Amino acid sequence: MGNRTHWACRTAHALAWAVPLCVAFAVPSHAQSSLADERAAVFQRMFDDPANPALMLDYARLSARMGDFETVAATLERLIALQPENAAARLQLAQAYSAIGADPLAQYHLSILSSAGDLPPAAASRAAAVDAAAETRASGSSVTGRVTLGVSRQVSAATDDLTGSVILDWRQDMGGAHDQDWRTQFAASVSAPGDGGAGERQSLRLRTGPELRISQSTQGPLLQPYLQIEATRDSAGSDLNTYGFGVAYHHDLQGAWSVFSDVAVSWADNLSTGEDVQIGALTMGASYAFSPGTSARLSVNGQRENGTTEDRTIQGAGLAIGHSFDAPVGFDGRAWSLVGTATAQRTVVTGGTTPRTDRDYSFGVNLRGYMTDDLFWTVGLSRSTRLSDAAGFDSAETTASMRLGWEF
Amino acid sequence: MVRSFLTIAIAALSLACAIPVAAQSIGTVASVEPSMRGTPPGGGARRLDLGTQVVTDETIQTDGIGRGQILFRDQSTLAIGPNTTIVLDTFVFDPATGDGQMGLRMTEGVLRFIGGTLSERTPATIALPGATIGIRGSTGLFMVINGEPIAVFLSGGQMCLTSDTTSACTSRRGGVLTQDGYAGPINPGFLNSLLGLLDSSLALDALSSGAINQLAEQAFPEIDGALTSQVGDTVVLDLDRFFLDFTADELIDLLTSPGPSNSGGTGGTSVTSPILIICPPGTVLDPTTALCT
Repeated sequence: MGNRTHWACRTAHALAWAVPLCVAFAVPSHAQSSLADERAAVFQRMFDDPANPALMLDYARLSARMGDFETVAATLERLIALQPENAAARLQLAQAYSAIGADPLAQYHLSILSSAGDLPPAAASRAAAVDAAAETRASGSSVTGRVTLGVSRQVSAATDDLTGSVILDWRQDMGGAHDQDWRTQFAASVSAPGDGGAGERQSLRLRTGPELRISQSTQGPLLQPYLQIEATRDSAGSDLNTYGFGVAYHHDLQGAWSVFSDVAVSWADNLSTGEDVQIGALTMGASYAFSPGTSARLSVNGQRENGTTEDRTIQGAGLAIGHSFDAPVGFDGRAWSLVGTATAQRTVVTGGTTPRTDRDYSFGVNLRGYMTDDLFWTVGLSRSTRLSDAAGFDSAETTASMRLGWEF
Repeated sequence: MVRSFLTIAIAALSLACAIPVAAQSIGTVASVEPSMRGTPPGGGARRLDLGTQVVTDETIQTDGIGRGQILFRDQSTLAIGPNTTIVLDTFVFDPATGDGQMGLRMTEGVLRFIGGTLSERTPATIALPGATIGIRGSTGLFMVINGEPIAVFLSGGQMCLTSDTTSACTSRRGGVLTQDGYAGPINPGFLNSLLGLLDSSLALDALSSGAINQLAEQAFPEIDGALTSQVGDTVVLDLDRFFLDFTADELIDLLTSPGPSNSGGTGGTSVTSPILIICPPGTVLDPTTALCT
């Protein structure tokens, strides 16, 4: 009973932290509604006066703020039909087409601008970026990724760890009538003890499989059956080799909602203990975009591990809320982002040397800013707590981290 | 007394006949260059100027140099190319709910459709000779060439073509659907040429003749030189003769062949826009004036 009370208190604590964030980030939702009303009013005026460039630009601007780039393109197409010499509008049109993936249309308008010599240096740079992105997509194969290096400090233990990570996402067009890719994701991370640090850990993970559009529409559900292998080396004695398969599902619903799930079966060999473990895992959840820059993601997960000597049942939930905003004055580059997270997890261990029930809670906040379009920094602060009904398994730690990264 | 009654009755009847036309305004002419014609149901042909309201069942036509755009009440936009005839068959739209239906018919020419609110929920239908297109929340390019319907999916969710013999869909940007089903991705040079038909000639004239010549050769290496001519900085391709010189199968192969890379040009961007002029049947291209006579 005491544990249950504690669980409820901790959950309430996490939610108490999360709810103000929700409220704070929900404000743009009202702004979004106001934006839609304003756009509808401008549309009516534009419909009555279809040759008014100011109204068209206003309507395109409002549509862009709502993330409706198809409407931006339609509006600017009408504008350049009336003002074919308007290079700024044509460049914005190319960018709108690029935003919705209509690369041939974007390149068409860029070619006209380029040939006419209508691009000032700054605009030429943006045009080149749009053109390069289109060429990459047209090649049928693309690799994106992220590399980070940083340091994290465990405040209570007064220890530092050096951390690094690499994430690669390779997409290969599978051809045919539908826009489907074979997707391979690679992730590696390393954590090495720094000043006073105690443990080191390395992990590698490779997941590969086709992303299938089961309704044959880019707006329909995406299903990825995949194979996955993972290796973890840990100085604490948890060296694991894991291999398995699963199916990931993602669907952007009409409106601001999307749903996702991932079900997987895998087998793990613990090289340190000789334990073989069969694992079944399910994650599912939904995300909601309050506005183009603000969204929340809620997920629940369950996992069952059957080992040679020990079994585990894991249930958990997580909430993440993110908000992106223009870089402060004086900082160039992309929009900054603020992400808040809260998680709760219950683990029941049966068999083995110490049967027990652990409850883990964490919450944190992470701020990311960009120095250039590719180089970024992040700072984060998180608090993790474990409560166990077995002696010696309780823990609590506050971690501060700082990383530098490169996206490509 | 009887005469007065008849006069009033005739006037009331005339008014009743006129009201539906006025009440069915579904869109407005948002651009026109240099002219388009409209024929509303039960009415005579009229000139469509900027801001002219169009109505359900109105037939819209352009000549060899005419083009324009129509903005609908649901924010859909049609760009109509030269030598094009369309009929605005169906347009029902409830602004409060976003529900409704949109359908149109094209018998000849080139048309670009950018979907609005309606097609996000219910696919808009575009009837071409021998096939019907359903397009959901998307941008597409449609043409009728020698009676053959061709649809190019440009962006968005999905586009499907249904005919007596086939039913096929594509969600691939640049994917081409014909009566034979999915025909592959469109030749980039040809796509640019079609877009040039819908674009303003003023901007296109800014292309250098050297770049145009080079790109025309890249996009259409099979073209007989006799089909092209040059007027100032503009390379003119007699598209009508061009199409007639190929069988339907050869044409589809040509339209969807990968084509050469379009990289090059200045400022780090591509240059890809030969200018095409389609001459109406029964006319020929005057290479000195670039007019169909």
